[in-house]
Amino acid sequence: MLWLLLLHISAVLCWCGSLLYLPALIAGTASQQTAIGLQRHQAVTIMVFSLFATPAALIAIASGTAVFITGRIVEPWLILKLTLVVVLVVCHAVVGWMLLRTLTAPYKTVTLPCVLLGAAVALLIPAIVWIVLTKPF
Amino acid sequence: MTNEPIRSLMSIAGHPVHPMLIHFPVAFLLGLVGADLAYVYTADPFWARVGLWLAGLGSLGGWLAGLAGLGDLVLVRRIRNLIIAWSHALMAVMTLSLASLNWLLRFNDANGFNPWGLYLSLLTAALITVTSLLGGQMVYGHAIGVDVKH
Repeated sequence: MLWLLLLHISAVLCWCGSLLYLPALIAGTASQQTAIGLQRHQAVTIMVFSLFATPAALIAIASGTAVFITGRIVEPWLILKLTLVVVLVVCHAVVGWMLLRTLTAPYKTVTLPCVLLGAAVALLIPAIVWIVLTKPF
Repeated sequence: MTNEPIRSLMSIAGHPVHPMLIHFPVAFLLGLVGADLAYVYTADPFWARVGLWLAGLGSLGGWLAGLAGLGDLVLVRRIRNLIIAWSHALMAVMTLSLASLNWLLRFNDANGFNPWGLYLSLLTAALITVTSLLGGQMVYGHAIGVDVKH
């Protein structure tokens, strides 16, 4: 099932890349100078969230599930990995919530929560990769 | 932005399929926590077998109900435009991934009871709570699949 693994890793790359980008995009909303600039910026942010990051996440998680079901992989490291993926998914959902907030209050500065979210995502991704590559237990 | 209800395309005679199906896997997967706790307290192998079936039927039913939901998410523009709809789908797929692993764990070791199974059941139940809140918000807050004409 190499094609399934290839699909999984490709989707994971798209997901992680866009999830690192989204907090920066959201933090940039408040710095828009004109109404038309704000409108365009919000449209791009929504597009990245709804048409790229989340579909990539859905494909990544579903194909990853197919990988461990077909390979009959049940190890404690996989359970630990999925637990960290749950935390990543929660970060992704919080990004969605922040995006909704910037739609209702676009000029409210949200830099600090965005920096914290970005840092959490940037720590989680290498931690997940480390677990998969080293399979510590 | 319009206040009109959002019509579901994945529906039979106006009844949306996703909310019809989703209650069963949700009940199975929440019942799984009860079955696991019953095993921990009684050590009766009956509850281990119940757990295997609840995890299996919950996962399978969840993926089937999820397909109906995915149909609406992809096909209906006003649902596709909702950030909450994508967040609901994301949490749901994560929940089903955990439930599927939980089933596989029990299927590989049908006679025994693995404490990791209880951990996965509890994590799944927590995620179901959040996913259901988002799903409920879509119906009660955005009127998806709601018919107010009659």
